[in-house]
Amino acid sequence: MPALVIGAIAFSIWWLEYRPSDEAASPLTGEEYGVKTLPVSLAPSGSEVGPSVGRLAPDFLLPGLDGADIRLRDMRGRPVVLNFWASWCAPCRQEIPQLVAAFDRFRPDGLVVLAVNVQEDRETIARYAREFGMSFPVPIDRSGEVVDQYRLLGLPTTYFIDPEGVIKSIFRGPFLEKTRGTRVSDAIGESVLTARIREILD
Amino acid sequence: MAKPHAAVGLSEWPLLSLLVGPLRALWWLFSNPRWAMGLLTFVAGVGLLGTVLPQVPSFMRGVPAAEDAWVELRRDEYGPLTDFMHRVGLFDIFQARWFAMSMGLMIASNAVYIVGRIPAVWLGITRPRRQVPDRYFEVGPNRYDFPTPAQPLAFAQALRNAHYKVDLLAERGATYLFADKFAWANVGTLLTHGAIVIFVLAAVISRANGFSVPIFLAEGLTAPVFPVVVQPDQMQVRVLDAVGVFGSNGLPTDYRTEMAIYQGGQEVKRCVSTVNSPCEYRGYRFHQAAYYGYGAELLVRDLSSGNAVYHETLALEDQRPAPHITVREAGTSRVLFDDAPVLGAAIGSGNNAEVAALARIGLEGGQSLVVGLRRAIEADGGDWMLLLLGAEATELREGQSITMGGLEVRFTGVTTVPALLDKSLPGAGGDVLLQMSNVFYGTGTTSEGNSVSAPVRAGTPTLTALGVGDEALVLKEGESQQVGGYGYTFLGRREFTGLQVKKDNSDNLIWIATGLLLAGLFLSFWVPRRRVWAKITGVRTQLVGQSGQMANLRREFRSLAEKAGAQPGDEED
Repeated sequence: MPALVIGAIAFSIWWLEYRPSDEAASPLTGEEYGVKTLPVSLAPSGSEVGPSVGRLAPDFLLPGLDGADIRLRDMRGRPVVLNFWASWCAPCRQEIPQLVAAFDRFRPDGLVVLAVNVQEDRETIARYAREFGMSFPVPIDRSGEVVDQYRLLGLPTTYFIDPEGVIKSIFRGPFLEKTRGTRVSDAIGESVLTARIREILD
Repeated sequence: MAKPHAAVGLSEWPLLSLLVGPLRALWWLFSNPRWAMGLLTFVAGVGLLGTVLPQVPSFMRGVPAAEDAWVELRRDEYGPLTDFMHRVGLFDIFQARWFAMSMGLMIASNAVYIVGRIPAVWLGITRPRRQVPDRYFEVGPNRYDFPTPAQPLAFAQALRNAHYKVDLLAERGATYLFADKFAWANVGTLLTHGAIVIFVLAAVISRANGFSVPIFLAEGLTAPVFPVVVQPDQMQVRVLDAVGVFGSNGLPTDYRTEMAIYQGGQEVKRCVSTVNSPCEYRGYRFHQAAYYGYGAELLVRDLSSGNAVYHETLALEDQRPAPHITVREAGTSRVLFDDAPVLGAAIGSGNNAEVAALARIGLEGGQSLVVGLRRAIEADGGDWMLLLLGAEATELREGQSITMGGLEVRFTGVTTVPALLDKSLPGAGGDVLLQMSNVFYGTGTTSEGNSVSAPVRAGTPTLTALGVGDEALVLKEGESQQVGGYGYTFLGRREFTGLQVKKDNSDNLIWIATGLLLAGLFLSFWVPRRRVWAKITGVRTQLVGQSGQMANLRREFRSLAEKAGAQPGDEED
């Protein structure tokens, strides 16, 4: 009887605290979501992987808002704007229209925008994505593992990654240039966001 | 044949003696008052240091990148010492392990003191001193002496009747008597000391593991509980409904919040927090802490794409004056207007005077009035003046009326409307002044059916935006208007709630310590131990006793002597 009680308690603790959550692994491949190691073919010897300028962007696999898996290394060969946001973050909300406009403008040039949501529920994310017209992929970092890996100081933070997967620049805080007195789509004309996107397009 | 018990010593058990030696040394150390004082001084000193030196903000703690950035900022001040100070934990003293250890040692020292006293207290209870020297009957502080012999058995019975435990002893021609009452009260001091130890322990646990963060949030919005970027146990709280109920005197009678808690992307709890009953999830308590009733949810869309470019719930924390005006038909006294119109932005100010922009009041039959509000300069009394513009401009003080053009206009007084100067509204050339009218503070109609006193007339909440386009943008709740390629929608009035999220694992310890403290104080002060020694000879009865300060033993002695058949006579000092 004591062994049964101890077993029941241990199982309860495991069930409540350690059991893998429903969305901890991809339903498509069974692979666990989170930070991934870049294969040697994409991270040749001598290259460093890390969340700083000049290094290869750490790879990750996350569930997307639309249900598809999103893996950063699959974007290799295309310039990537990797943005971290949350609906509760007011500067993020202010910035999203800039990202949407930039994506619409540079999508023909092959630009990829990944707006990683930090630890929120799918319904909230979907509501914001729909309202703000976020037509780019929205990976969901439910555990916060990817955010940890990228050593974020705050939200929003944006990484500009070139087609080789190298981080060209990091922008902490919102892109808010020229939002006043003019249309958002016009405002991005000469903004910092545009300038940084051009760096990774070239 | 077994060896005599006394012959068995630690030398027979070398391993035990190896263990006992250091333990004894440790016991001696912890029961040493100098060690205790040293510890106390150390803890007080570093505690002071913790208030003098800058400490890592709580929201950065545990985020290496944030901590590193914060420490870098300290380098200007502390130069080459910065890294050393950071390494030893001087920038996070109260979370440092060595600080927790020193507090732990202090607790251990107290605990050892208490444990060390237990044998003496136990002996004092179970084997009390039954006899005192004869001289004590002459000098004891609570003594009673009368020159007639009491009947020892009758005296013992009187004591037993008073719930004393009594021992009798005949010796050297006298009868000695010892009586004891409330012997267990001696445990009181131990309980009190134990309570202090547990209080300190609770403080250490609370400091090391406690959590408290304020959240100020509007209905419909979500906020993270932990103010760091990311946390494995991160939770979000969404306010579904914030309620502020006010009495007819304007004072709040109830604040409550209906909320949903999310963790790991799932809704894990839905509950209501009130002031006295916080919502709780996994040890975190969501206390209702504040309420603010003036919020406005505003949505702006880019009409070309249809996408939202702005969606915020704004706390209208400022106030703007609005004149309460009553307009009647001069002949019939029929009320044509009775409200406080929202005025435009200030168009001039200086020298304690302010001229507000004007408002146009529409009346029945297409008539209109243009009014403004001005605060007179202090030399003129600093009163509010209502400007009536028309063919003949005129001014009214509060309470004054005028008849003009068949209308009787009365300036009833000045009220205020909640307002905010917004700097980020898309499509605006500059700052936008937002004013919300037709609202009252608090939840208008609640399940109890209460209503509140209104600073302005209640109706359909209306948001007036000045600075978007050339004219004031007036939006009733749910209404949209298009200006310069943007669609502006006032989604409605929203209430804000203030929550204090707390977790403190030391809660139970505090309850235990409080219980022990109360029990200890009760035993020590309300049922103090009473001990009575008596010496009865053929000619004399002597009594002496020990008890707390509050007990009147002398009166009790006199009463007992009378019950024992003695004649105590006048009381002796």
